[in-house]
Amino acid sequence: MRVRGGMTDWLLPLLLIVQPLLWAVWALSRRKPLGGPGLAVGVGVNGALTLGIALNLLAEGGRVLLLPGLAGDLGIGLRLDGVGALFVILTWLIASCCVMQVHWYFRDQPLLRKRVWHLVLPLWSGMNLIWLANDFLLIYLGMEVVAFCVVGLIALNGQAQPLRSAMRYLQAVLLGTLALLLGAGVLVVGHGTLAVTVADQSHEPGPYLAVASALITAGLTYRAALFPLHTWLPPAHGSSYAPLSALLSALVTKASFYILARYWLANETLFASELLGGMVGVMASAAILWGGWMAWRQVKLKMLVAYSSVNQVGYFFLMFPLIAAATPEVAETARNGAMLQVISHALAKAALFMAAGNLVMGIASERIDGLAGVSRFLPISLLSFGLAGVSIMGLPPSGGFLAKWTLLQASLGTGQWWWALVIVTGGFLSAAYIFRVYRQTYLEGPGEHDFHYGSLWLEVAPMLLAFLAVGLGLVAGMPLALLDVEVAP
Amino acid sequence: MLELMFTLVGGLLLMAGIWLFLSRRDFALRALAFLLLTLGGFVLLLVFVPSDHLSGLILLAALGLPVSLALAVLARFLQRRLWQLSDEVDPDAGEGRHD
Repeated sequence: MRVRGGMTDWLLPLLLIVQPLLWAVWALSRRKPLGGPGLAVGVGVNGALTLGIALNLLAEGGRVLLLPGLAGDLGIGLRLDGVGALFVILTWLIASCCVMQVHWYFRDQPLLRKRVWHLVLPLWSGMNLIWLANDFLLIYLGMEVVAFCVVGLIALNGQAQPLRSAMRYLQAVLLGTLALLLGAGVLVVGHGTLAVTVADQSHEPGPYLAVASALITAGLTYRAALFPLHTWLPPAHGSSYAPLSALLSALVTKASFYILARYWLANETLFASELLGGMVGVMASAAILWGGWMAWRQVKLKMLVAYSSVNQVGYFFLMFPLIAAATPEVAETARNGAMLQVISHALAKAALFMAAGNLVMGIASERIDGLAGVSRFLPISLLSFGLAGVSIMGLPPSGGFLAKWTLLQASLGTGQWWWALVIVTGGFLSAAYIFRVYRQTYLEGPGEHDFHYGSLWLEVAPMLLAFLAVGLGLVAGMPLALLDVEVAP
Repeated sequence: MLELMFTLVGGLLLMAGIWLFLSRRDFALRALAFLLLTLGGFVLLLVFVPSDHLSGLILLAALGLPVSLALAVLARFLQRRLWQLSDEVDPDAGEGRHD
């Protein structure tokens, strides 16, 4: 394992984590809300740092940067590898689009526009810390920073329903991270490390690792909202402002899956078994079917999109039964499929929420049956919604299609055809709830004067993200190549 | 003797946390229950930890406890805001705060 601790090695990742925080402090110190130029500079600087990390990684390979002294002995530090860099890039893409959308969405509400940056920007810092952390201590810190910001974002408008949703989210956070923290504690007791990769893999797995893995898996599946631990997610994502829901749904739920995937992939040989993988697979299958069914039954558009997240999270977790039962080649296929699904879902779901927000604003109602006539008067938002829907349904050539196709291949490769059945059925359910929205928009509705038209700038971010979600299927080689950059043993 | 004391204290904290969580529906009290569970869990871990691994646990506890406390305070704040809102809607609906 390449371990470096020089100042130059630390500079880029540290700046990437700290820069949004400094940006938030700057926003806090101003009397007026951040304007377009201030936001553009911040996004640009973060983009340059993100690009720098990716190029540096491709040039020099993966490495671990440990803190000096005792903390370093415990594995506390940062890890630069392909999967982390991929999520940093994804975060930049989605957060930049959200920044743009939030700026235009709240343009007539200066108080909200001022407050929102104190929450969005630290959340960006927390996400980058999670992607780059090498150990559970920094991951825990990042997750709690994110949790504080998310609670604030859900409760931002101060009304009773979002406040209740924020409380439910907080409860899930407390329980989930309590389990994660205790799992990390058991890991220290048993193996003397806080690192996600348990260094000493030569020994037989003992009870400490089993208990730690159970606690970590339980905590993270709760925070990832995997069925049946999903009940906090739909109200939380459905009741906040649409551009903020986009951020929460596209990035925050991914963090828990990311950590769990890294932990399983790094230590799979020590504790993962077909039985354990099968149990997670059953929960994932139930999430796909139940989430799809519930999304189809919703009467409010944002709640439909929120339940769609429950449905799509299930696909990520199908990776675990597949890697537990497969040869290394098939396991790699399963990993690639799951990671592609995470990326395509993040892009598509951000686009869906933003487009749904525009539609809700346009018809001044959250109800799906209020969408009649939208196809004639709000076609751009509807197109963004549809393009993102193509990826959610898994139609070619979208990223969602390639991800589900790869997962199908992996499930047939392991001989576990029943997961393939779930994937296909989930695709039909996704099509059912997306087309239900579309069907409504083509019905005759009120005249043009009954629709409210927002700024055209509000259409840019969802359209861009929707095109990226669809186009991902054509350029999937690039993210997959980055995934292969690992820390040398 | 010291181990027995730690086990008792940790066990009591855990039991208090579980009782508080199960018996009260109030979110803020549940947040407090999580804090008790965190404390109890760590005290029990301390009993069984070999001395060379103690530093890692101290680091975890030093971070975990204040963060849990802060989340509990946040929960309390949200709860009070909810009460204020329910009072604004219905001035006689203040009974919920004694839940």
